[in-house]
Formats: sequence, structure tokens, C-alpha cells
Amino acid sequence: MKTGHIAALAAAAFFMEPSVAGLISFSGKAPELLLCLMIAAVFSCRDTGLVVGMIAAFAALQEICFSLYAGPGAFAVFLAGTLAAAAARYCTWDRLPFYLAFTVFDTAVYELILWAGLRIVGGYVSFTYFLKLLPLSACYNVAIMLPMYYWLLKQKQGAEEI
Amino acid sequence: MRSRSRKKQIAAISAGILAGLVLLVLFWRAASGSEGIKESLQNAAAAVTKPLYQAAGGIQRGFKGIFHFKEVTAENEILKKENEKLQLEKAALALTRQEKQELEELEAVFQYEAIRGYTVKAANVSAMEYSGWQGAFLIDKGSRDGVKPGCIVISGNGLVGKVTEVSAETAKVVSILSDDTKVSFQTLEKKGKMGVLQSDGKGGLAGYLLEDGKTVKKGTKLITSGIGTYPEGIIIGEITRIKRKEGTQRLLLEAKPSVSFFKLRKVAVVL
Repeated sequence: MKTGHIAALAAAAFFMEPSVAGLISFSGKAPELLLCLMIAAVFSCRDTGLVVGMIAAFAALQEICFSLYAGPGAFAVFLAGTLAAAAARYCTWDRLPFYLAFTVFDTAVYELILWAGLRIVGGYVSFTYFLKLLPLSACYNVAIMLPMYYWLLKQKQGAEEI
Repeated sequence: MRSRSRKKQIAAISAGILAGLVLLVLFWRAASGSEGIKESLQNAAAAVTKPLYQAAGGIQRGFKGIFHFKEVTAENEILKKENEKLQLEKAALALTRQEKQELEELEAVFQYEAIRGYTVKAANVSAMEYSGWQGAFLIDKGSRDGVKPGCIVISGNGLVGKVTEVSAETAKVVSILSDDTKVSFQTLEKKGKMGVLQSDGKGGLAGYLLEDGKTVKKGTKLITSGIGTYPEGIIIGEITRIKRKEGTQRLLLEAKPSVSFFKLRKVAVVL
């Protein structure tokens, strides 16, 4: 994926997450589009640092515009992205089980950091409630990552043919 | 050669991370500093998300319609008759089913005796925060319309929360589930019993009755008592669980809010 494409997709995710994502929300949870985009982008782009920084900036902007607290979400995206960048250095995303397992793992890391960050700044969510909704968040993100995987695979095969 | 390219890669990654951190700090400062930048960002973003959010609401209702086909058909018949009547009266206003439902919901707000003396502004929800379990959202009314931080927000179904931040054209609303603010309530009975509720951090409300030794039934509706922030008589929710605190006469209770915070499309702000 090219950096320009990622920027355009991040802008789309920025607007869609607080609006259209609500179509499939349950208990106030919807897919984390920016997180999903970042995992896919980090695995398929060379400028991982730039991608992580850019998507974390979009997450920060999203918090400023729509959230009660600015900071925890962007920090969580940044750390989850750094983790994905580290994983991308040592592993290849081509194997679907790894790709999906990493999505679940990264979602858990992201949600945990977000929950802890929100508790620090004054959020009011219990840990048991966070744990209860964690599988739902993971399922949502896996559902988003699955078509993304086949799209990335198709792009990679196309590039190899050239 | 290989180690040189690796060094370059590490330098690029470090530069990217550093740039990201600088941006994060800048945004953080914008968020906590003067209102100028933050207000403009909020207004610009809301201008894009508002039509998307409203369209998503329409689609959601459309899907529900598929699963409630009989009800929709019956409703359609009523609507057809109403429409014919409206056409006969040469009414200029044509409402869609969604708009009608939303307006009916909002109409209930004006039935509250508690807000009779206040000015009430109807507002559309422009964006919803889904990532933080918070029940926070953006509305399309701001300081230009007289909205101020602390204004109470209600819907046809009951108490929603209050305004926390205001820009010229938008305002951020925090639901009663999102913070540790206590809401004083009374039960909707002949001799209403008083108590206090607050978010339980699990998507519901928890609290207790102020008078020890009293009892209430499961399913009893709770309304605001008028003590504290909220005016008297606004529906909060209904009791779902009751238990006595061990070794005391205090009655603890859990309640389900009457408002589905994440499905809100229209609300009213009490100025």
C-alpha cells in the first residue's frame, strides 16, 4: 500500500468511525477502523514509522473532535501500531492465521491501553465490562481485517506479476 | 551494504515515530489549550459526519423494517391515509417515515412538566463516540444557539446527560453513564421514595434509597427528583434489581436507563 492511499483511507476511517460504523454497533462498540487500517498498512508498507505516526495523528484528531478526552485513544493507537511495526519486522503477514491472531492480540493491547488511559483521565468503565466487550471488539476488527487481507494479497500478487 | 540499508530503515522508522509524537503533542496542546483550533476542527468534522450519521440512522431503520414486515405494512397503511389527508389539506410539509418517528420521539420531550418554564432547543446528533464505552456524542447546536456547558440534554425517552463542551455550531454531550455524577431520583409512585443513582461502569445505573427500611418493586420507574443538576420529573429508567446491603436496612438497587444512548438521532437541550 502506498502512503498516499493510506492517508486517504485514514481520512475515510476518521469520518466513518463516529458515523457509519454505528450501523453495526452493539453496546456502544463498533469496529475500530483506524486500528484495522494501521495493522494492514504496517504489514504492507515500507514506511512503518510514518504510517504509525500518521494514523496516530488521525486518532488524536478524532478524539479532539468527537471524544470526551483527547489523548488515550491516540496513545493506544500509537502503541498498538508500534507493536505491529515490531511484529512486521520479524514476521510475514501472508499466513492468514497469523494475520488474524495478531489482529486479535493487537485489539486486546489497544483496548487495554485505551481502558487504562480513560481510567487515568477520568473515564468511568469497569474492568469487567471492558473484558465483557473485548471479544466483541476483536470479532468486529477480524471481520474488517478479513476482506482487507484478500485485498492486500491481491495487490501483492499483482505487484509480483509486474 | 545490508547493514547500511538496515540503519537507514531504523533511522526512517525513528524519524516517523518522532514526527508522530510531535504531532500528538501538538494535538494534545490544541485539545487542552485555547478554543480556537479545537472549535474549528470540531465544527469542520461535524459538518462531514452529520449527514453520514443521519443516513446511517435511515439505513438502520430500513433494516429493522425488513424484520418487522407486518408492523411496517400496517404502519404504511396508516401513513398512506395520513398522507392522503395531508394532500387534501394541501400541506406543504412532506415527512418521511424516519422524520415522523424522530419528531414524535422529540414531541414527548415537550410533554415534560418539569421543563415548561425553560427554553428548549431541538438538536440532531452529528457523531457518536463508539471507541470509549462512554456514550458521548456531538450535536449540531452550539453557543450560537445559546447552548452552554452544563445544559441538560433529554430525549423523548428520558434523561440523556449534559453538555460538557461547546463550540459555535456544535456541542459535546456526555451521557449519565459516562461519569461519576450522582443523579437524585424519586420513584414514580403515589408516595415517591427518594434515592441516588450513578453509572455502574457497566452500561447501567446503580444506587440506593435514601430512607433506610423502605422498599420498592422491581420494574418501578424512576424520575429525577429536582434536587441537584436535573429538573424534577424526567424519566431516568426502571429498577432491574434490588438487594439489601448486608447488615443494614439500606436498599441497594440497579436500574436500566430508559434511553438507548448509542441509537440517539434527535435530542433536546434545556437552555
